[in-house]
Amino acid sequence: MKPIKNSYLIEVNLGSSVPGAGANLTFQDYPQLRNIFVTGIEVLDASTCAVSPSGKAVVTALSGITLTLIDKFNQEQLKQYPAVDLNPEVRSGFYRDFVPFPLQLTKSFITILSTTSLSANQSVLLNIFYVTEAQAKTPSRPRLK
Amino acid sequence: MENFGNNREFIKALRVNVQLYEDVVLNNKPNFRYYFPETPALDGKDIVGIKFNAGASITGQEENVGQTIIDLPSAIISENSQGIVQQPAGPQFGVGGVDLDKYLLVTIYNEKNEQVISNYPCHDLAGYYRNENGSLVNESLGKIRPFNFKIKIRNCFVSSTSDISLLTQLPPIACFTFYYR
Repeated sequence: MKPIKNSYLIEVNLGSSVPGAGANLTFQDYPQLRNIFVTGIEVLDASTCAVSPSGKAVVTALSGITLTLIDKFNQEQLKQYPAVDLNPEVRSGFYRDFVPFPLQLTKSFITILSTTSLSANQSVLLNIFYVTEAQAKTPSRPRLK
Repeated sequence: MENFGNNREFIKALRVNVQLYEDVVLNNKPNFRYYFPETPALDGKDIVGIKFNAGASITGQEENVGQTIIDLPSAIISENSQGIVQQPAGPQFGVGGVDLDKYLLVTIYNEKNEQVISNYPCHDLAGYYRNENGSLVNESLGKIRPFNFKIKIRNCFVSSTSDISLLTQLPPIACFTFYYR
């Protein structure tokens, strides 16, 4: 695991009725997450965070959810990545590191593959680890000569 | 820390307690902010790891623990898998074994007053994971989350996503260990 320089918890709400299988739910715009490079991601369920910051119940299982992340060049950096694989609780406490890429959050989305164990008004929580553009240009430690 | 993927060693560790609420009526509402106490020893320090502690029957506030171990000895950190936040030297609390850390988030600012960690779930900082039997465990030498920033502790706060007074009968304390250099 690389050291975390910044993190931001984001939320996708399933809505007043559970979306059908195959539905894509895009992320809303978070100003703090514009022009950032993603370094790692966690996807959390209710066993880690029972209630979202907005007061919504969090989904109890991630097995029917996948994640697709689009970079600012409209390239799919992650495509249909199983959300459960990004939950550190079932990965021996580790989170997934990525080679940093510039995220375009508003075009990224989660896909509901199975509605089993999902309920209306529940939320999916994602903890985004990132560096800003300025941090990406500056090495965190002096380079060895 | 290399075995656990953290590529920066810590030199000191400091435990900081945050009183979550004292008045049931006034300040136990969701999203209420509980600020960290003034801790000058941490201000401006290079934080390399943060752990949310299970159980808080701790007497020492600061431990110079050297560079070779990733956590304080379990004899010093009396951790358990249930009482995530606990009244110091008091009884276990919680209704039906509710894990309060599932309702707690921490937000951290750096020395430039920039919000570097926003709403980080405390449960994730506690080093929990499921073993091969599917049971949730928290080893005393578990993994700690690696970070890299300089902290301004007076701006940092813990927030709850639910009315935690419904979950516990005692004013709880959230206990964090900051690993720094």
